[in-house]
Amino acid sequence: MKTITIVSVVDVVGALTTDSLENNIYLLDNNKNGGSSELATETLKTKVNKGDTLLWTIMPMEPESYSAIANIEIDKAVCEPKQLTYEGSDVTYWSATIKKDFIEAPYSIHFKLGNKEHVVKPNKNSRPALIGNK
Amino acid sequence: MIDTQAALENNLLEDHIYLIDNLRTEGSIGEGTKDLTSKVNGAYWSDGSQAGEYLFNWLPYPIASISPILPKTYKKDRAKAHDVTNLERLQNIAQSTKENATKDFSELTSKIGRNLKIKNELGEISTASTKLMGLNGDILPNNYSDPANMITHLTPQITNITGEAVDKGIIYPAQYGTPVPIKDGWYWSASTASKFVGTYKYTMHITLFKPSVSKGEIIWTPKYFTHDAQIEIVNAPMVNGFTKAGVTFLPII
Repeated sequence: MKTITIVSVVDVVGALTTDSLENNIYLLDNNKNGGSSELATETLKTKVNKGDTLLWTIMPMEPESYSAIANIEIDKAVCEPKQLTYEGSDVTYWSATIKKDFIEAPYSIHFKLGNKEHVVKPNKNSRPALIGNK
Repeated sequence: MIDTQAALENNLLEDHIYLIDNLRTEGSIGEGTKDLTSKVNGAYWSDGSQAGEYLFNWLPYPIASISPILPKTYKKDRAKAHDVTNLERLQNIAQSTKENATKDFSELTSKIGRNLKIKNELGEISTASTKLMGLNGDILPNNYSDPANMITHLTPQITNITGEAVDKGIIYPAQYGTPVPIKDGWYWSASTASKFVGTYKYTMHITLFKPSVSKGEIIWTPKYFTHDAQIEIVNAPMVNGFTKAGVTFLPII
């Protein structure tokens, strides 16, 4: 069972100027050797197995800009991401454990970007996905 | 962004490095790949006068890591807080009259956590003030010995930037300190002489730290890599991303 980190690198200023995440987000994980593909795109395919733990974090390209993951929507039969806080800080991340074997589970990440609550959803036709082992 | 674990396993950086800049709207190409050309539209202002300099910052980061948003002192603070908590627990055990105090003591010592140990080129091992940390920010127990899973990797270090762009005086890179949390407060930066139109290659010298088990504990050994990227300076004027006009004036709404 692995622990896999999925990082959303976000050009916050780019996303705010265009009011879109298109071309302003790069999703990466640390499981390319394990079969993940489409790294550094908004359609990252993360290869997972039952029992793996996933951690979603965010990295704004401009360190001064505010960014956070607001929600992750995915088939709850596959996993149920929960927002957690690093102990001793107010910085959050999202985590989930893969419950079962499956084929593919597309998901959406909602972000809060900038100095006000600004939720941006990725395009429904170009979503990232978890790729199972079934 | 670097998949440090994969790069170290394969002893190959180029298949596991992802270069990204915030100049995509300016026309940078190769975003998210190993081959990035950063576009500098800035030789002139929109009125034709000589433009100011672009500033480049380089921030290497491992994918397998705690959030880069955390304060730069987070790892040290957590190690200190962990020790304080355990000292309080030790005091409670010492004052306890319970029969199983020895068992409690043994359990406690197993959870103290190990300070990071880093080997230098001479094989000497130095001990850091931070502890081996999980990807969720928890201090890992003393007997944790799986370098391939769960641990937050040490941040890659850029140790130099060289090459054509430096030799020709296009960029003047140096390392700077910052209060911003990313990169432990240190980053490489360079101003760009944007009057020299052309494409210029540069080389980043990057150190990764490989975790391996020695006598039951994890030791980090530096491994040295280089990687190339390019800067392309063109004559097109700088543009305000919000207004699509020149950068001098902001709109009044």
